[in-house]
Amino acid sequence: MSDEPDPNHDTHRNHAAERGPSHPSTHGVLRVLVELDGELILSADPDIGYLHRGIEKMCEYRTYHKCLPLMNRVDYLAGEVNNFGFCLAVEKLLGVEVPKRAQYIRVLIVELTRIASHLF
Amino acid sequence: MKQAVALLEEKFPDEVVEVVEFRGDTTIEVKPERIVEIMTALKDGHDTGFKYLSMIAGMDYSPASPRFGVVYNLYSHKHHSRITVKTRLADDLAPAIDSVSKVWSTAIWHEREAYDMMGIRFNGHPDLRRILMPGDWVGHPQRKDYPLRGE
Amino acid sequence: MGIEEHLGYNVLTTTLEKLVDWGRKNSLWPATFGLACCAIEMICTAANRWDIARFGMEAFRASPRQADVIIIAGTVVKKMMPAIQRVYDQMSEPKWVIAMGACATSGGIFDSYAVVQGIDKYLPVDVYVPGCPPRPEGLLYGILKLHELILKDPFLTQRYKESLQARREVAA
Repeated sequence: MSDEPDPNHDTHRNHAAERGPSHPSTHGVLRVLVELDGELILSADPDIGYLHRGIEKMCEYRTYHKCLPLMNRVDYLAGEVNNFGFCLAVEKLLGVEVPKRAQYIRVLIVELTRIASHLF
Repeated sequence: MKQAVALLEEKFPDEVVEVVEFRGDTTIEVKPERIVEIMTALKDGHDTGFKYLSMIAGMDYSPASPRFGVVYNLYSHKHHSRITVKTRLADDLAPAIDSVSKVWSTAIWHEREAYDMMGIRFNGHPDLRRILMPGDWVGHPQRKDYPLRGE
Repeated sequence: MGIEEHLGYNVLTTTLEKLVDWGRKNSLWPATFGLACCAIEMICTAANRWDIARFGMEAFRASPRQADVIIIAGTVVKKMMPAIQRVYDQMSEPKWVIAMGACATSGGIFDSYAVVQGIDKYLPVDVYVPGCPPRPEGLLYGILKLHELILKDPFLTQRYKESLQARREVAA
């Protein structure tokens, strides 16, 4: 029985951990399956879908206006930004011309919500 | 965008089905058999350089036939241009197409979502499993014959 | 009236049940369970303007074993339901549930295949706070209603009544 460690023996057993969908580091849900070697992360496999609400399918059953509250809640930190994108797409499809004043107001609101989103 | 159309019409003249230009956006419809070569040509072409894959979406055109389709949105940083490439899949019951995950690795997650929501299988995908629904969910929710409130 | 007349102003008398209930309601520690948009309003409630620390609730415990109340804030998706059930089961008694927002109450505007139509299908909810999202004042009002509920919680008298009933049944 020698005291030398056997070089073939695996002294580190990689620790598979799971940073579950509910966690204190951030609001919102994300599950990450990590494989750890001490503190070093060897692999990380994210698992999503914990806030998949079926918004795309719900929009198929609504008129353009009724989709707007759903769009608001896609990225709930910056609500009006999602609305802006949706409205641009619909206006392009319909060929609607937006007045200048409305365009300015839209950009103001969108930039304010962008700031709000970055604060969280 | 015009260079992309020209490139495709030069290299793959049999694959291009239709080119649509609508309010400044170009959409090319191609046949799905040689999709990987088409995407590689679009990505590596000198005039096109679509190195960024924005989105892959599975489409359900029912009751029209062929029922399923795949839509690719590409963006080129070099030329600041976007293009949409569409395909229609031949098989209505077991739709399948080659995976473009070797061309852009972001396609791995997009194709998982198209599989989860529509049931379109991607041949050669490294890890085809459900991404948004729980692992043991039965059914493909965004198909047109799937009820809104679930089964 | 009785002994209090003779004791003077620096001694209070109460029942043990009322004292424990008062202590419980004054330091309810919530478990962090922000899921979606209502979580942002819950964070705002914990921030400086609508201070939740005045009610002793600023300590959002990450571990459910140290928490008293779970505020389900946000849309509950069927994929997330086992996680919520586990967190709720890991909380120790006494525990309360506040369903915050329209989505936790009844599914909200999301009447679709992936959303649980109300968390009360799986957990016993004590207070429902409606709104999409409810304003922080709304959540505070819900918390105050929960405080009223806790103050009236007859856990000792209930236990006494149940043991009295059991003794009567044994004697009869």
